[in-house]
Amino acid sequence: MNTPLEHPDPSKLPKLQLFYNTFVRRNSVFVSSIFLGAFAFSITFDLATTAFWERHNRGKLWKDIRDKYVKTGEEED
Amino acid sequence: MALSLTRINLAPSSRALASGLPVSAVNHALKGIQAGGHGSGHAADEHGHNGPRKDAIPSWVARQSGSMHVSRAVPRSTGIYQPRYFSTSARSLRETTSIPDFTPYLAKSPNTNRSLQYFMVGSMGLLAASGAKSTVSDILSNMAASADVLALAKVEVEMSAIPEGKNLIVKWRGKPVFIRHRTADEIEEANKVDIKTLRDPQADDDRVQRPEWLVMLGVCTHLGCVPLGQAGDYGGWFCPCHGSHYDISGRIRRGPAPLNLEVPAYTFNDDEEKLVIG
Amino acid sequence: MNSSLRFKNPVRLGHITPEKIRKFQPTLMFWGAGAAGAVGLFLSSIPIFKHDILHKVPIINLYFQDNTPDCDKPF
Repeated sequence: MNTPLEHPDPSKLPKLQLFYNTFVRRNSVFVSSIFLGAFAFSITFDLATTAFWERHNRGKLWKDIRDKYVKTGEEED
Repeated sequence: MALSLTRINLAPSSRALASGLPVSAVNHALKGIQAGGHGSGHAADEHGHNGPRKDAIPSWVARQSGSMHVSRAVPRSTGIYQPRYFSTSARSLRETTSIPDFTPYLAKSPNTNRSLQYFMVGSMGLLAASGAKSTVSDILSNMAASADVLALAKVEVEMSAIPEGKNLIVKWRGKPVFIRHRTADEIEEANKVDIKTLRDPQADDDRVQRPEWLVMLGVCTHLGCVPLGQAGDYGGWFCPCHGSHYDISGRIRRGPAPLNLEVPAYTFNDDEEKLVIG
Repeated sequence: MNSSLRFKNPVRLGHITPEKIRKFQPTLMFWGAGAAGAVGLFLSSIPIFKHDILHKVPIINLYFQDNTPDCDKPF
């Protein structure tokens, strides 16, 4: 550490410095947050792309038109 | 001197005027050398009819000074060529060492740069881990059996074809599957066993969906032989290869096998009185 | 009595002593969380892992549950 990490006034800390102090100071925290973040990212990315796809194709998807073909009550197969 | 190299770049012997006409500046001088000093006869020479080419390299240019020599005279291009004898550009007279002021671009503190670098490294790792996982799982799901193959890989068994207390062996995905219609006594016997004493503790309820129907893969968990039904010391199955005894719930009781007989995925189709394995 | 009696911590495994483990406890916890995250990430598309673990985690299971009705599954 060539520069002190402590800041005289923590409320005036730049955001990047806050990121550094929170995530990077311990390698264990850095690696863990990468993996947990990747897990969260893969879920949110999938949700976001799926939501976009369903919004883009609204009215054409099976779940939108299945009422026309599947009568509730007398289910075939 | 064993080897001498002589290279001569000749001055441009001709150049083009703006009108496109070639103009020769050197011919007169060369002509004087080659012609041996008498510079008369201009009128014939300028049309090039008089003797060899006037700007040919004279023989005295290649100096003979040893056992071997290489002479290479490179005449300059005779095309459109504008030699520049001195610079008249005003730009070249300016100071060339003025350095721009980079201080607005300097980082305010080295911490900012370091934090930004770690942020980029972390983001890159995050995206790379997520992308690697997606890539690998997509490739592996390509290798998995597709839904139509899985649909064909099911076996349906008529439940009414198996009377109580009888075994049926069907082939499913190349492996034998034991189906036993158990009697009430056998169910009671299977439930009576203290599972803490078993090698692979498993309650009978965990191995069957309906107590009267026992469905198991007929592959001995020791080395993969097919056990014999209604045999062995525990009234269940007996593997003739190395003597593993399974009880009426297919649990290993004695012998070298480490695990109970495996239970495949199966469902009951009550409408058609069928047992669907797979 | 043996005059050179010294106290020796009976619980140790090579250089690993309870004091050192206590010192590294937060770090070990963070590494454990990271390992759990890595396992969860890389195994999240395996059906048995989904069924056994991810369906039992409170909030995440909403994403991993299959909401397709049974009548829409042809096989």
